[in-house]
Amino acid sequence: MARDRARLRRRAVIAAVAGALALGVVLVIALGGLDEDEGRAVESYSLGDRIEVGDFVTVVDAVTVSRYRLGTESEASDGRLWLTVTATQTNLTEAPMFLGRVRIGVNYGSALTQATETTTVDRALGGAAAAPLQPGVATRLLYVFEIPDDIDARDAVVGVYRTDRVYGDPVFGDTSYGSPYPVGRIAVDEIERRA
Amino acid sequence: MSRPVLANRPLRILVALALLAVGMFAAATAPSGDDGVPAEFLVRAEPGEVVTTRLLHSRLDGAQIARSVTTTGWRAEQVRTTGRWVVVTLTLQTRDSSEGISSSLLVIDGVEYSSYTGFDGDLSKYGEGPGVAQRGAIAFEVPAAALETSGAEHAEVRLQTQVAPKLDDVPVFTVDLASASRVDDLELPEPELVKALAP
Repeated sequence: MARDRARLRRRAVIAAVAGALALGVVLVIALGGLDEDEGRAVESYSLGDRIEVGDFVTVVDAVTVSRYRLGTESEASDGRLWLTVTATQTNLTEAPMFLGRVRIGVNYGSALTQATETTTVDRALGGAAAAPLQPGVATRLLYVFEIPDDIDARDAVVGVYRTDRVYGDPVFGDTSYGSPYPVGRIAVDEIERRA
Repeated sequence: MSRPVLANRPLRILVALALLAVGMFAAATAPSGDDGVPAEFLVRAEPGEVVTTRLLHSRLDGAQIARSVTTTGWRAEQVRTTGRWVVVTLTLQTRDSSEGISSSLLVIDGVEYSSYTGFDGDLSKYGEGPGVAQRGAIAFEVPAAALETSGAEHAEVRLQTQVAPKLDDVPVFTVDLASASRVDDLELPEPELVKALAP
């Protein structure tokens, strides 16, 4: 009698553990935990392609290197040049939105000389300060980076990121966990040079 | 000697469960920000009417649509858009303290457009003290297609002093943008002091 009771208790424990494991598997699958990790898949685009990032559409129109900052008389400091990524971005929502969740980065020369910070965002054709993008209004923005003037900028890669997600960055080789999440990469074969 | 009412264990458990259920019901039915309880109060008016709200006396004097806006003053510039500028002329007077209306909205078909704050000399940075009325303009950037919809005939201009006003009144002017005059370039009028809207 006592042996039967012990056997029953063991079976109950085994059944409980098996049940908990089955429930865990179901939960993991339901929450998408076994889906392919998106963080390693980065689409390649060309200049002029439409890249949808979060609530915005980004089209990178041109990449330019110049001594004088586009649309201004501001000359780069000694040994430096301005690298300008011209992009047209559109807010897809129904309310004004700042571009806080989208970042444009650029890599030039080797992977070690990357610049992922946008130093300035100017509104093209007017030069007024950056403002939230209004719904549906395609807005031209200049992302300006100051770069050394002795680098070979012919192999620049522009990266488009969303900053509300983070992951290791296979575009530029930065695998630190805190990197912004890369969405698209645009290889630029020939960067336009201006005065 | 009488026993306490809750001396009975099943009764104590039952009371505890009942209290828990009441607490859960109260938490589930409590007002939240999503159900409109703390929403602003919209005080509606037509162009030309003076509206008095807690912070402002205000009047919408007119609206125009332009492809570009030129500012005046020491840093004059022409600002273009791929859409259109809706430039709204207003007269404002604060009641108790200086207020700004840089959080104002234009609403067309439920889509919200915020006032453009990059212009020097517009009325969004209005800072006159109480009792001093000022006339000037604010501008909204909208896609051209939005002005061709039926919603443009009854667009709303909301003069907000905060991005998300709660439990406060907000003047709202209904404007017919479909019949507003259209120009290629509009010179943004500089704010000027005018006769007070209210004593």
